[in-house]
Amino acid sequence: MSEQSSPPDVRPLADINQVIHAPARLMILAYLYVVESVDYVFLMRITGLTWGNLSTHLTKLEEAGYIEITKGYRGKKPHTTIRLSNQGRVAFQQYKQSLQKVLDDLPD
Amino acid sequence: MSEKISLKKIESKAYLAYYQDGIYVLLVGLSFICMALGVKNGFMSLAAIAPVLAILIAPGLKKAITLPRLGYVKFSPQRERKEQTNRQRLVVLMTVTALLGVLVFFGYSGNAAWQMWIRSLGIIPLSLVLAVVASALGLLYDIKRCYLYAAIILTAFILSHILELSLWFQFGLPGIVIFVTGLVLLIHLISQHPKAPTEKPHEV
Repeated sequence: MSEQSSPPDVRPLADINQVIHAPARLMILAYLYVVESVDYVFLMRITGLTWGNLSTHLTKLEEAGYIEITKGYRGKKPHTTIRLSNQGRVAFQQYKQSLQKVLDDLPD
Repeated sequence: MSEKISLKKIESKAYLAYYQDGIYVLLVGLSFICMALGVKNGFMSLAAIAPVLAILIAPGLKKAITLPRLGYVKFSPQRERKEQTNRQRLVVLMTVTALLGVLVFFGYSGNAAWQMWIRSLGIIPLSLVLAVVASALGLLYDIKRCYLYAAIILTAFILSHILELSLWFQFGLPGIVIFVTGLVLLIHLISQHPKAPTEKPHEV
């Protein structure tokens, strides 16, 4: 009878933050994590998302409390800036750690 | 570690997006061309004014062309500090360049021993200074094409010294190459990124 190693425990994958895990939202948070603040146009260009798509994802992230959206003006034109909230920063760090842990435990 | 690297790359990509518009490149190229025209036609003031004008109009062009297309980003305090350090280094470098430029300029207008010595070197000291500035820009801002500009400047100056070509060629060749590069980058930006729709007025 051959000795079998126990399969890796991937149950923590089920606990992965689903709000962050969506590729588009992960991309948005990754950019917000490394800058202070951005506007809609910059996020749209750098992520390649459409205006409507971006708006939907930002709403979800804002509802989760991960980003702060500030509506203001640059000159006379409306200008909305987006930044990562403290809660969002912590959630993103936790997401990184948990995903990294699960992936590190998987065999090559 | 790999995550750290990829986040750093993301930040660099966002940062470099602002230097891919070609505006600074275009203006530097234009300055070189103005210097060449100034030298060729005896309008030395044009050669001196062109770089100053370029510095003055760059922010306005950036605001009118780049911001509506690439959007607005405020970088992290660490990046801002790095940027400030880079700016300080650039100011020092530009000051040294300007002083050397003045020295070379006076070197051509007298008969003292040091002036004769500078004259014997031709325009090569100036080309070295310009090439060092271009390389320093490449190093500070991680823009590899700056090394190419440095090589073109050196080649043009050394070639014209050996072949005894006019000053027009020394400034004109790098100027045209840099200007065309900037133009290509700017056209690429405008064609790839049309102006984004403006935001709707905020609901009160």
